[in-house]
Amino acid sequence: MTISGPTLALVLFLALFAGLIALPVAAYLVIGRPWTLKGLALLDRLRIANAVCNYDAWLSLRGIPVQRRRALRTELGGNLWESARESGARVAIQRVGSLRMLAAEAPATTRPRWALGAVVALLAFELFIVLQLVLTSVWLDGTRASGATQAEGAISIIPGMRASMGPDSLGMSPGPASLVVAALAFVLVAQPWRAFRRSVQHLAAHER
Amino acid sequence: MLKGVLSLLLLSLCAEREDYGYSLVVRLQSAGFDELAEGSVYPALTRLESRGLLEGRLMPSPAGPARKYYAITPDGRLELARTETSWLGLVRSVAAVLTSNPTPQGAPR
Repeated sequence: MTISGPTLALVLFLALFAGLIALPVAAYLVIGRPWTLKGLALLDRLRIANAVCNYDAWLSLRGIPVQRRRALRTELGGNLWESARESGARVAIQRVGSLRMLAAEAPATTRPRWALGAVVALLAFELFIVLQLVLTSVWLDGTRASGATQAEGAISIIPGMRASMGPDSLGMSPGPASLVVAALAFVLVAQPWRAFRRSVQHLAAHER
Repeated sequence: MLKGVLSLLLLSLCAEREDYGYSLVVRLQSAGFDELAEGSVYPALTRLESRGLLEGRLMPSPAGPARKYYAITPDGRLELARTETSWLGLVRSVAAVLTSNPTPQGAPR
């Protein structure tokens, strides 16, 4: 796969925009659901939505399944809303205490963390592509400094990656490395072996 | 609060009537547990639910977000009876020791 310079820049910009701005904002709105917190000031709604998002993130890190997380965060949001109507969101959140500890108290599960794995894999992929772009830029500067107007070469630090330069164009062939990094991040974070451990626990429970 | 007492209290309140987290906190606080942290009540409810002693259901609220109401289950009633007996026995035993060895007025404790 060879991508031209302007297209590559546009793709990278869109990927970074989606990853760093649009996705967190969308997640904040979907998870925090500030519009359901009727009767509260905007700032209080945002505080509660933020607390619910933090709680969900901690639950997610513990590998709590999506459906269970939704139920837990809905419950917390409802309780915070009730409490905030009497004493304000700041006090309501303080009364709950550490959201990390609250999430740690949720009954543990050993299911694979597919969603978290997918998010981390996407971020790893994006970061690796950015790294490849930086390497291409360094290669380009070196090639131009040598006086060449046209060149093609391998970036040896990343297997399979190649870069090319013409009088009016720049090309980068990222190779399979970014996909390998994303897959590795996905496997390490999602931990698919948790499903096996869970089935072993179920078997043990049935045998008892 | 002593270990297990919060569960006993929550089971007892839910046996009285189905209720949701924040309301249970308010009921406990108005019963005298002023220092009770909400952060300890919500996980306790979740634990009781996962043990099958309470049953939770989300109910939409016209005024705001949905509330999760907890009701006691048959297993919860058995557990409530068992822990209530243990607690009352403990209270009687402690009272017996305290009344047999009262601390004299002005004596260092």
